[in-house]
Amino acid sequence: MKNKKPLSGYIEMFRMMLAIFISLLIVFAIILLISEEPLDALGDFVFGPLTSLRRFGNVIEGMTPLMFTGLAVIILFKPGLFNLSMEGSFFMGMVAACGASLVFGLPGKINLIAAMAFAALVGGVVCLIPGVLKVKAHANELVTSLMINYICLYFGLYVINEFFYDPTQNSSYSYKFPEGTVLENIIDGTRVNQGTILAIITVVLIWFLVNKTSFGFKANLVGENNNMADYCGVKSGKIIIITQFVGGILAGFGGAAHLFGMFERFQYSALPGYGWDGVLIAIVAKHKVQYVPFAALFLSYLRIGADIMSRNSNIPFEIVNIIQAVMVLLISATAILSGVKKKLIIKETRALEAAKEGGR
Amino acid sequence: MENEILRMEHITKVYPNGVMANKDVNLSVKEGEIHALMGENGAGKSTLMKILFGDEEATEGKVWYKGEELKVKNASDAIKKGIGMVHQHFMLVDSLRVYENVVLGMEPKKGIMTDSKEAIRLVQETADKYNLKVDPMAVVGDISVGQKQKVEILKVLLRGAKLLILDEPTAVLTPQETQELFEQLLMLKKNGHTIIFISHKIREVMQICDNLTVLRGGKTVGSMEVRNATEEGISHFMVGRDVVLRVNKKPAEFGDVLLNVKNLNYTNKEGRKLLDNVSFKIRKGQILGVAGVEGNGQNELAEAIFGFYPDATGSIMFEGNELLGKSIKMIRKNGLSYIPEDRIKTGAAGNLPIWANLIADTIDTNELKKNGLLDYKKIHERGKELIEDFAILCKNDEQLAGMLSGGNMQKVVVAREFSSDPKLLIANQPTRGIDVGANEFIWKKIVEQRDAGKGVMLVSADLNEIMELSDSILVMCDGHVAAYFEDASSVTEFELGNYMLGLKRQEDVE
Repeated sequence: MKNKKPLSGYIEMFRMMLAIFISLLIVFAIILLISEEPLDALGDFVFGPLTSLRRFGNVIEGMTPLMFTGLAVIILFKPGLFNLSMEGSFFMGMVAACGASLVFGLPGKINLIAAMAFAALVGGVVCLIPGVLKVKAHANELVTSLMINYICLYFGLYVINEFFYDPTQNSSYSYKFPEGTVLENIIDGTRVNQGTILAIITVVLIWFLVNKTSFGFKANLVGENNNMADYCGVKSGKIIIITQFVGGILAGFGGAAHLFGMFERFQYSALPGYGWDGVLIAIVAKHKVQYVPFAALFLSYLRIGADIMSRNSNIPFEIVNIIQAVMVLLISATAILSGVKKKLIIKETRALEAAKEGGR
Repeated sequence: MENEILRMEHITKVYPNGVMANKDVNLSVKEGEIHALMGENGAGKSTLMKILFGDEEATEGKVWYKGEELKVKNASDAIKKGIGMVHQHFMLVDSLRVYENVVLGMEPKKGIMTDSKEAIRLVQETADKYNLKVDPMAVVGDISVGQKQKVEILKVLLRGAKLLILDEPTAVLTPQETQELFEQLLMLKKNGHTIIFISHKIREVMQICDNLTVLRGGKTVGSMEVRNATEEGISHFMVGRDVVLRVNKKPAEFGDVLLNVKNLNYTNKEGRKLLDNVSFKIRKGQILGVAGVEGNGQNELAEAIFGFYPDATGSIMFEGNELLGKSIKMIRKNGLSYIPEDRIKTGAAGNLPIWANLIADTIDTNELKKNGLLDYKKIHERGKELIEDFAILCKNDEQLAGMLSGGNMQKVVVAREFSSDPKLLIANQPTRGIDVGANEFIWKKIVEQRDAGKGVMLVSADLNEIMELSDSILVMCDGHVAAYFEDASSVTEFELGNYMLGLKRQEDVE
């Protein structure tokens, strides 16, 4: 017998759409209040990213780091930890990629691959630290990971300024990366590069890891009930340590892909915030790997749209952050429509019961 | 009806997960009676009482209490109206003293300070009035389960409850303690209190209740006066067919020694000695029952054998291999499996589907993989097979384990632990809080295991279960072996009780 999906199963989707709709209404209200040409501003916000290839390219290239950090957060949180060191890991990934590309001096693309691999390793180690401290010393990973982010920022800046600072530049920029150490553009007229392809491939690989391997199953089990995992013969400590390492690898690699795809030298002097965005992506994607590209597309589109709006009107870019917050708030508010869902479930259960009675 | 104190009419409850726990349930309780609410687990008893106590909201239906419609939003509302509940799992603060627990949240005040003297006096007075013997100054963590229950009852009485709900109060008591509890309940009845006694132990209901109501599958099956009822009649009511909880066992045929535990000692982090030189053997084809008042080391013994405490000392030889110090994974590989005491905390993951719960221990074996990746076809086949073999009531194997009733969730755990075809099964409270049907089924499986020449170690607080199933019985008291009976039929429940309570102890138990 085929199971037809009951109506209550679609509520999740309705809820997402309703959340987006409500937040657009709020955005519109804000725009009405501060803009002289609200319709134009709203048009820019909603359709702006579609008006030229370059703009849409901005959306796509903005997705790349979001996908990597979104995946990182899903993996880091999987065994029930709140390890937030993906921010530091992403940053150290960029620092390590920059340093390695300049130090290794390998020929052509081999240098690129080696630098990215090194960045992934460094990123993995960064996220590993809170995991190990959690398992071995029962230190709260939230606290240690936030501290580690500071260490990463200042240690990373120290490394860049001490060893790779280009004196011909005025602020703390590094030397240019060697020729060939770059992720090539794939669409002319945009900055969309091979990093996006790498991100998509990574999504597929991680989907396999989470859904198709016993490791993914075990990580899930540890997150759902670590007592049960231990008693079933799954070593939860080991699983936690491995997941934190893998999560860190994703963030560090993402940092390298971002750096080599978008820049020709290291030029950050603060944490870029993509790690935090990863949390947003994970929430919007409901911690499901397959939704990560869509969540990244959504967030990136939102940002580019708001950016276009703020450049063409008198609406400040800060509004974007408000809009973003409103949307995430509504999407993560699971109580919306729960009353409707409850009523639907009651109705369906009754129908099912009645059918059972009748079938006897 | 005359003297009716409580009437619940047409109660229907649908949980947000789509489970219909109560369907048009009716319950009528007379003032001053002890009314038994009976039924298998998952029959809707707990849901009905949660609605009465304000923990859950009824989807439909009305509750009448003392002639007025009762609308309670939460437990404190219910308490104000004079309804009190003694939960199956005690809601006490272990580190506080008895009197502190009893007055918690309603402390008598002197200025802004708690008036301890007055509190102690109040507790002592109530205790004396109802003949509930507890020491108000004792620390709750140190007193026995039976005593804790008295503290719970005191808590409820001191808050002015006239209607007391007791959720399976005898599940954790020895026969002696049960008798004492019954005397106290009769005393309460004499004082004009009304008691709803939730139980599925027919004999106990026959002993102290006046009327009974039976629920089955979320519906009221019927109500009757206890003096007109028979054991078989009630049993028939509860499961819809005649089940008398007895197992037919062939005489035991003991084989070689399977497990040999010698001088096992375990001291926990707080420095409490929980296992004190425990030695015993389990043979092939033997069910060894481990009896004892809860908290006397039985649970730790089971967990120690299964590798929960690598720092225990002594020796656990299994077919010539030392198990002590080995990981749980290795112990499972050696052919042991374990039904844990607490299915919610340890046995199952409520947020994972049934199939995931069923394969959690075998996920690393190649049977469930194809080219190194999980083979969902095989996994679901395995899931469906086990669901069928163990008669697990569910929509399909994708249903979340947490949505199942207690008995069915336990069957999931049992099915998983049997699926690896273990040489030795350690069953720790395998039928706690589950219905008669599931209980009977699990017993049957355990006996089958023994008849196949495998070993079983059965830890249970339910003496009836120990007596029915065991070939041999080990009694634990205070971490040591208080007695061992090679032939379980040579001992009575009452005698076991004496050893459990530490009144008697065999010398040189081997």
